[in-house]
Amino acid sequence: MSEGQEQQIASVSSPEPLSAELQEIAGDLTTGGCVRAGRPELLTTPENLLPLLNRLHELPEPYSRLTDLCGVDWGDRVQVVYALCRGYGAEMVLVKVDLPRAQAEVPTVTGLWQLAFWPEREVAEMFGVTFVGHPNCEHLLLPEGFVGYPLLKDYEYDRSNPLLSPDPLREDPDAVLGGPPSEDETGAS
Amino acid sequence: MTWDPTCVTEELVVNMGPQHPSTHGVLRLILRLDGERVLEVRPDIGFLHSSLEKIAERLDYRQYLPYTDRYDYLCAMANELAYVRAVESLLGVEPTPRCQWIRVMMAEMNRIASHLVYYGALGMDTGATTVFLYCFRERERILQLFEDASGQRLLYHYFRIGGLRNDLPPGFCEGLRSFLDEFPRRVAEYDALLTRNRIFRSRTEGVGYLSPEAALSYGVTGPTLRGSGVSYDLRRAAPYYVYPELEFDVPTRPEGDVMARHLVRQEEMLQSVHLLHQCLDRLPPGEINVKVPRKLKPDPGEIYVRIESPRGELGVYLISDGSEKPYRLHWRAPSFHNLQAYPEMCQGAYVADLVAILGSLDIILGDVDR
Repeated sequence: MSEGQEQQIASVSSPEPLSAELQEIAGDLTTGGCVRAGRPELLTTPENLLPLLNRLHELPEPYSRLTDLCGVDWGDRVQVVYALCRGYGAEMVLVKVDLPRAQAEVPTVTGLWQLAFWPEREVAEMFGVTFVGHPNCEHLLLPEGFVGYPLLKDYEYDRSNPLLSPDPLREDPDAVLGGPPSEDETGAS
Repeated sequence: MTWDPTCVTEELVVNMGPQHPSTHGVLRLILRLDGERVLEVRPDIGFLHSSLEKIAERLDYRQYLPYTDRYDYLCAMANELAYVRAVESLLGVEPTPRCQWIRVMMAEMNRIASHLVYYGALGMDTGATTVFLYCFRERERILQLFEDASGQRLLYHYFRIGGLRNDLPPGFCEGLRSFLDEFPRRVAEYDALLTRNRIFRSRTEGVGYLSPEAALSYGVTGPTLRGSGVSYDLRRAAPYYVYPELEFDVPTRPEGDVMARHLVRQEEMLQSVHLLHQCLDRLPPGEINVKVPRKLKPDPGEIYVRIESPRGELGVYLISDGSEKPYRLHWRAPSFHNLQAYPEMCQGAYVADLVAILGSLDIILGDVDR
């Protein structure tokens, strides 16, 4: 097994070039791509995202199943990652879109897969990405009115945010409940 | 006054939850009702959000391991397995054969324990209290075995990066075998008690239909998907560890209703028993740990690992920047995606059906909200 093991070490950290098949299918719509640990990755732009996904969707053996959608903060840019599977098989491709932090906008894929409704809302509230065309991009996990994007690397806990402010009952119970109980009330010795 | 057939009742919006015994945690359902009929369901989630993904960025690879138990507390072994596999792939470490067998054993035991909670809870949801107690009686025996091995009943922290906390304790295999010998009889008992019960059948058959096309679009996985007739199990489709060497069936049902999902899970418990027998027979001797450095610093890179948890496809997307802490960790939580298809299944249902349908999804709110 040592051979396979060494191969695995090499492939996770050092990507290999894309297969000829994927290069031919997606080459003109991507800005880069590689194979990491046996799994292809395609890098694309927001404009080319939907055409690329559509093309993968319309192959004779299509990448028809979106299984996952998440965001990654790379400092200057935010990346949205789409994990697509070839039907119900083992083959999977990761499609990545780089978005500038200042203008993080990407078209929604809810028209293609209903799975995307919730994960896109999650990425929107956690990373500040706007999904153009999403029918309802309210907060999903965070409370309404929450300020900031918690999964960004530079997010800082903001005490002035009313939704994060300390519970007055816990901070100063006397002020809320009207003073400490007198000694004879507590019955302490 | 004469009866007017065009008359409709006034629509009513009702909140079900967040504190409601049959929502299996803190889930709020906003219902729009026409009498007893459900026009629209909107799940409102996030009450149990614990920012597990952010926490990972502040801890090193080992420190995060106990957290993986806590987010889906009914299948802690499966979560540990997914996370440990991801970190080991990043490090390029291959666990020893004995370790792989024990990990598969633990995952399958956990599958039975998790399905037993589901089984009992669905009984409770549909008004059959007894079966819950029966299921918990058997589950207790698995938890006892887990406690013998790891010292914990629920949140095990048994898998370690590069191996296991300790080898199986003396008497573990005998205890497991006696449980496995008895358990199929118990399942037959549950079957007679709940599954063939007329009231239960009328509550579950034809209720909560999910078509295979909708399941594909929503990314539904696990027994919920197999109840819609799609034979997709990652232990078969993308096998890991020793699963290719093991013999088992992937039970499916074509009906797509609550009963179909229920029967799939019932059959899966028996398949897990079959798998565990094979594990016990073939468990090799040897080391359980491989040497890993004291400070874990995987090379920059990323990995996406998927396993079949009791609830479906559990994915871990792990990015390393070469430091001691994960740069980014993302969980693909099966309950999260399965719950999203819930309104689809509730079309045209009655209020009482909602509870049965939700029970058949077997969601864990800790898994949904993360």
